[in-house]
Amino acid sequence: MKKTMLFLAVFLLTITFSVSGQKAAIDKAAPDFTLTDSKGETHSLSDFKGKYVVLEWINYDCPFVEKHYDAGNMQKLQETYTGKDIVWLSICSSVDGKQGNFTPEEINKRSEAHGAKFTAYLMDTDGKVGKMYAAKTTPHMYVVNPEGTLVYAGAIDDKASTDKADIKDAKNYVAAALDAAMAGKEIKEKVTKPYGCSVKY
Amino acid sequence: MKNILFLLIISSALLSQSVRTDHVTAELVSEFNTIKPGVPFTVALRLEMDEHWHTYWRNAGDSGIPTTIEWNLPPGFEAGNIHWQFPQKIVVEGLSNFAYEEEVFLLVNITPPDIISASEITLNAKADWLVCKIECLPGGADLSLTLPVSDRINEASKWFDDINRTRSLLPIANAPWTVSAEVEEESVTLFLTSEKNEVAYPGDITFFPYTGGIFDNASQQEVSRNENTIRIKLPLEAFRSSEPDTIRGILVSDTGWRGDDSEKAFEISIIPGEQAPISENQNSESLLLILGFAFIGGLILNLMPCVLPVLSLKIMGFVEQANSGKREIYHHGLSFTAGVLVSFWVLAGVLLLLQSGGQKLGWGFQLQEPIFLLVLIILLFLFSLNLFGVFEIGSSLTRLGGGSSKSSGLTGSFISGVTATIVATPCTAPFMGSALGYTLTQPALITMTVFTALALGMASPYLLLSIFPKWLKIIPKPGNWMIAFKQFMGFLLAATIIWLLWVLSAIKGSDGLLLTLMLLLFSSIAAWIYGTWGNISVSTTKRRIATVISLVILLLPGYYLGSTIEQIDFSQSSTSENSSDWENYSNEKVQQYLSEGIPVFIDFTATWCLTCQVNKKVALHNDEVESAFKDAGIKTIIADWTKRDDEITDALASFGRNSVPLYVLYSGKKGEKPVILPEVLTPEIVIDYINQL
Repeated sequence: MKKTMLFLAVFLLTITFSVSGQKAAIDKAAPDFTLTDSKGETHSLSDFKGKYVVLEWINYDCPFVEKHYDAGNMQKLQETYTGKDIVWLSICSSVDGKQGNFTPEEINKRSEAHGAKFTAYLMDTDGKVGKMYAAKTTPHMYVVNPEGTLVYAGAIDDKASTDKADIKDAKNYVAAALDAAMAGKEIKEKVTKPYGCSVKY
Repeated sequence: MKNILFLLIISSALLSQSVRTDHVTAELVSEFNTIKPGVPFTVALRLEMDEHWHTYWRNAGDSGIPTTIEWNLPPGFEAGNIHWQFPQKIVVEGLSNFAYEEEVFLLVNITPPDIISASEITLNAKADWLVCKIECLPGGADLSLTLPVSDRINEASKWFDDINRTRSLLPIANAPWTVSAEVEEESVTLFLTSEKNEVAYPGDITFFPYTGGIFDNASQQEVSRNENTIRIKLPLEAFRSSEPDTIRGILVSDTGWRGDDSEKAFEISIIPGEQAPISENQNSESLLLILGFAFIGGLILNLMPCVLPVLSLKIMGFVEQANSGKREIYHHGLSFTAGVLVSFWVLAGVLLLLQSGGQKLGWGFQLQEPIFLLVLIILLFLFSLNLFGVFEIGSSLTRLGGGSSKSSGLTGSFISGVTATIVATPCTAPFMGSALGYTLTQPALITMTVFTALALGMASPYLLLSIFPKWLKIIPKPGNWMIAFKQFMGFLLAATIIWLLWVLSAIKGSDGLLLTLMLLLFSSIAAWIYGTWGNISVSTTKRRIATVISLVILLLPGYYLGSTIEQIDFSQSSTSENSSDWENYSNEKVQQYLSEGIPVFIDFTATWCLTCQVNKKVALHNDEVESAFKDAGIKTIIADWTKRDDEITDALASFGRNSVPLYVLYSGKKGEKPVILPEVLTPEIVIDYINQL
């Protein structure tokens, strides 16, 4: 019995390590992770197999994130696509003591004030998941398809600025990727250069 | 008293308002205290950042956005793009930025109009930036700078030294290094070969790409050196938005690219090849090949429609000399060759000089200058009048009669060599595109060698004829037929003039064309006066008076009309005549289409490029071809280089070219390299390429 337990422990550890050592790559299986959200629940990417998942790197104090939340653009996207049974995970990789690293209470207060419509706000306080996905900026957006393959990585849209007025003429890459994928079409831009503040690792 | 007043005006007006925003103080500063009409000067956006805060370079790196300047200038003033001094690499927790700390001067060249009626001028600009320490703040300011207008020599302002120092931090286009690149799975290796076998001095080297999203900015760039080559391994971004088809950016050395304390930033633009790095041997081999191409290209130039009429002058000369002594014919051949060589050298030298001064120019640049065109038109017009017999120069009468004059004849041969070269440049013959493009990335010495080969190629038929004058024996004895032949050649020359007038009208509009034609009228009157009363059958006094009068009639209107033409502001795009199927070029537009997966065809052209015009009429604006483009869903774009255009010069450089025509077809598929079509097109060729998509 003891032996079996030991074997199981080693087996599990190996799996954990092999998973956390993985790096995300386009058109490859998106590496799994488990994080706690601001409400205290834990979520794993693998929980959502069979559904499209959007990963949004977030930092409420970054002017580029403010642009999209103050204009209501991000909430509108979240509402539209969660309405189509898509899972939306906002991930904050600001490590302890850095900008954007808030207490769960503060997060919930701000999210409510913004009227955010994400599925969950995940706290990646040691930056591991961010580095696994090579998240560079806030926002930095990813789309995972129902098979668990990473199909989009990059900017939210094609107008790199902090000016809200740019949103209406911008081409939204995330919406384009989701619409194309859900219609069974090829995603034209799978990788774009993200823009924003640096992730505060 | 007047001087004191003047000084007072300067000191009161010069003050520019510096604007203090969060963590940044911004102001516009000029290198001079005054503006002199018509004389370009440099203005800088000066940003002073709080300690540890930074603003961004043209490629911000992993995060951030570049500073932008939007100008609002008085009529007639023009502002160029920002000249960026090289940035520093700021790495925070595995993310890397290309940015400026403390203080930076972003330089912009301002060109004032030739005539300014106001006594002072205010330049307005809206600057926007992102300033970051770890957290970021977007910032911006409306800035203005008021300077008095003065005809005096520009006086250095207190910012002159700072702006000058910043100039030394701008990337140089040429350095004694040959650069090539090789793409591997997850990295690109740059190979830098020193022409002086000296790899020690550039010290530490960092590459800063112009385009973001391709290279992994934060990872270490591995630098290794052996005998005469430095290798720099640049890791690629795992998530990259495009493949490294063309590598553009700057290499920054901590000691300098031309020895200690020389320029530290060196601009490169290379298309990676799969082949191994160029070793010494291969280098000379490919150089030989290029020289061969250049020679053949020069030879073919003789047959191009823009040179042929001018060469009629030369052919005329041969006919005249057919019966002179062997030695003399040989000397004429040499003078002509010298004329071709010297003018190629001068053109190439001026081009190199202007390029190293940061000007974005390419082959054929002289025809983008209206004054140059004007002088050329008048010169050729006078030549043709001369051929028609309206006037004779010096002793040419006797020469026609069978005698010969050595010195003036030799000068004539030299000048016809010069003229042929100048008119030939815009006709980039096949073979020449790649040879000229090759020189872009090469040091000055190799560039000059390539041009020498080109010149020799062009002059070779005449040189050979003059060495073997026996071949001229088939030409009949001089007689009356020669006068008719000469006049016929005059018509060919007139055809060249029509072409040049058309080019001028594309730059300066119908007003410019009208004034030029008036100028030609004056020139012909001057030629007629000189021809009637200035020839040797008239008494010396009369002859002198006639010469003076004809010079006055030629030069006075020439000066006034010429400067009026120069000032015509004709901004209407010469491509507006094109059908709506052809859009005007902008890099942004092309990238937009490509990002949407739409195939794109780009026609790099210019009014003064005859090859381009023939291709356009024959192969591009052809119903069959246009419908083939439409059926294949290809967006057709025209990049018109008739006037100077930095964006198009950059685009040409990205294909390793500095001349037109260039035809590029993008399939629109991700990661697929564009196809370059031949320089001479037929409808079948174009349709073939379209079908291959």
